[in-house]
Formats: sequence, C-alpha cells, structure tokens
Amino acid sequence: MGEVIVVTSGKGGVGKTTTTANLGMSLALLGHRIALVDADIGLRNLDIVLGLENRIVYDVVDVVEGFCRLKQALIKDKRLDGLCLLPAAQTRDKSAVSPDQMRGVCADLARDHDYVLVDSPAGIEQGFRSAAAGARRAVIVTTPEVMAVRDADRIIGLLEAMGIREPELVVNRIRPAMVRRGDMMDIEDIIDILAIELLGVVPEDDVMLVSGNRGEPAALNGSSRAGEAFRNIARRLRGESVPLYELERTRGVLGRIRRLVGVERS
Amino acid sequence: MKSRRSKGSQASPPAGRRQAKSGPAATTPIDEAPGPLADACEPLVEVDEFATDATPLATGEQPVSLAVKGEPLRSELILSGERGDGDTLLVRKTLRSGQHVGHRGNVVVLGDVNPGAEVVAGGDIVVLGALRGVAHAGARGDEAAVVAGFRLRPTQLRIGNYIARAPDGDITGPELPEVAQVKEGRVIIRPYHSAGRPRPRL
Repeated sequence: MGEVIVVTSGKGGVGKTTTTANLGMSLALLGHRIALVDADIGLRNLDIVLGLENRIVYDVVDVVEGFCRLKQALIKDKRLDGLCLLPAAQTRDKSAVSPDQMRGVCADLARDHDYVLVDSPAGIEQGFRSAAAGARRAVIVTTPEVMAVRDADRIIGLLEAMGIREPELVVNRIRPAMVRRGDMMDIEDIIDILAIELLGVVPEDDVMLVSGNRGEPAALNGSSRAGEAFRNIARRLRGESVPLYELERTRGVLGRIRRLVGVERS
Repeated sequence: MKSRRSKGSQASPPAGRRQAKSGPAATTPIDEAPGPLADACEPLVEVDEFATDATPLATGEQPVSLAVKGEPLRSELILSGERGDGDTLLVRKTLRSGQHVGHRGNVVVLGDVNPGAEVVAGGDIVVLGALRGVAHAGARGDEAAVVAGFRLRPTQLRIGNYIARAPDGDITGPELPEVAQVKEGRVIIRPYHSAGRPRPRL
C-alpha cells in the first residue's frame, strides 16, 4: 500500500505543479512506482509540465463518472517506466470530482504505486478539499514572500483540521543573493512562522522556466541546481536523511550570525 | 522530434502524403470502453503519432466514441456565437482552452481551436483557422470523416475509432491548408488540394 501525498500551497503560482512533476520524476528515478494525479480540473497543467499533453484520452472525471476504468486513464511517462499520470479534465470544473470520489481514486492508485502525488489547485475551496481528501501526508509549497507564507499558514491549519497533522515544507524560488542582502525572507523567518518540518529549498533557476515550457522536468537535468534540489527533496520525502543543500545551510548560518550581530533586520 | 513533416517511405501517391515514422509502431490498442477487461493487461494507454499505424480506439463490435462518451452529444455545451442549420454547425468564434463543441453532423469553425479545446463531430470538421487542440471527426465511428484546417497543429486527432497524437517536441508544419483522414489504417495528414480527386493540370 503506497502513500498518498497532496502537494498544495493556498496561493497560486508558487510552483505546486512544477514541484509535483519534479518530485514524481525524482522518486521514479529512485526506482519507486509513482502515480501523479492532476486535481486542478479545468485548469490542467501537470500534463504540459510532463510533456504528456498529446497522449491524454481519458481523464480523472471520466474515471469517477465511470466512462473508463482507472487503468485506461493512466498515461505512462515517455521517459521513466515507473511514472504515470492521471490527468485532469480541461472542459469541466472543480465540482466534477467530489472529495469522496477523489478518496476512492487515490486509494485505488495507492494499491499499485509506492507514492501517489496529488497536485492540488490553488485556493481553499472544493478543489483543494477534493485534492487533499485522499491524502495522509502533505507537501506545502511556498515562496519567500509574505503573501505566499500567509496562505501556506492558512492551508496548514485547514489540513490539520482535515487530519493531516504533519505537513512538510518546500520553499521554492529562493534567490540566495537577495536573501544575503536582506531583500528576501530567509528560511529561518519562514520556518519561524509556519513551524513545520522543512523538506528542502529550491533555488530560483532559469532552467525551470524552459523545462516547464518544453515538458522536460528539471529533475532529469543533471546540471540544474533546482533539479538537484528536487532530487534531494524526493530522498527526504521517502525518509532518507540528506543534508540540506549547501546554499541553504550557509544562508541559514549567515542569517543567524547577521541577526545576532544586528546587521540585518529580522 | 520534428519528424512529422519528414517524408515517409511509403511510395504510394499522392506525392504530398507525409508520414512520421516508417517503422512499426509500438502501440497498445485501447479496449472497449465499458466492457470487461482482464486486469492483468498492460494498463496504460499509448497514443501513436500522426500518420503512423494509428491505434484503433475500440475493438468492440459497436464503435465507441471516446470524446463524446455516450448519448447524447454534449450539444448543450454549445457556446454562443454558433449557428446550426441541420447537418452542419457553424462556430463563429475561436474555441479557447476548456471549451468544447459537440455536434451530430459536421462542424465548421470560423476561428482557431486552441490547445485544450475540443471539437467533436459526427461528420467532418473544418477549421478556418489554426487547429491546435483536439478534434474528433466521425465520432460515431465514421472512418471516412476528415479534419481539414488552414493550419493543422492538433494536440490530438481522432477520426472514427482511430486516434493519433502530435509528435513530441515543437509542432511545426507547412503554412498551408491541410486535411487529415484515415488511409489504410493510419491517420494521414496531407496538403488540402490533394485531398479529393487530383486537380487537373492546367
């Protein structure tokens, strides 16, 4: 029986879909059987990030409405054998899948896969509630911005109310130089507010933009720093202890020293 | 991979015929939609590229329309700006992502069909613009149906019970009207002028 993990954030545009795709790729690279579920019905993107858009025949709405069986709707990744995608419907909306139905789909997928990653839509309404319904664990994605952190905090509260007690945090799109100058929230500040386990930090990387457009997740790119960060996060997600990425650590220490010396506003 | 536009090895006329892959395609037939299935079978759908040995959508006796999914056609979802005159529906607007047009007869779109949009027709589909989304002609199993457009760059083409997808990578193609149809068990895209009878040389 595999684990169902929802990837969510509250705020839009912080990198939920990219994170889902890259964690899925990384875990599949580690030899796990992975199912990715796009729960963003009506605004589907995960298929594009994975470069699988042109293979979609059935989708998650067809599955819950009984037009096809679950296995027919799964799209096998073109690069990795262990990875498959259950795409969202584009011509429907969030009301097409209820939390109960999503719970059923996730349970079915968890039978044949080690990890089921559910890409949640932005927001706190039904789309999010359905996406999280089948999950036991949650990955919260945020960026070092006050707005994103505020929304993440809200989501963590909602998840707790739904019974997901220990969500884990990915801080996306951090720019070390800006943090060093004190122009960007640093990891310590974010952890201070959210008080959840840090899974990892992903540096801003131009490769991410290109890979999203091309449908080739950065996790497959050996030279991308963001790709490396995602591969490390995937290993932590499955319980390995991987030291935080170099830049994450120095920044943390430096930040602490700066604050001690009073050079930097906290 | 930009091989969609490369000339194939097939020697048959007309000269404009294109073929993406000449080798045998590794495809898995999609089995009948509601029917029973051995759970041990290879579960995942492989959709073949255009102009290859297109995958039959259904192996059952009754043709199964995938995009329409049973009765009735989703004509209640028809958008404003359309006029139906019996057999042919005229859509006088660009179909954007998430928009769906289904009609029992032919569909003509005066505009583009963007990625994420779907056109499903019992008959032919003509797009007087760029077709970038999904088109399903002959959705009730008519394999003689065609899809024609000023620019054919579809994400996926479905004709009757055949399905074909765009090649991976950038979708490129000639800047001229083209028509897709099923020929000898594959979905073929050709320049429009050679779709019907050969034009007399002047």
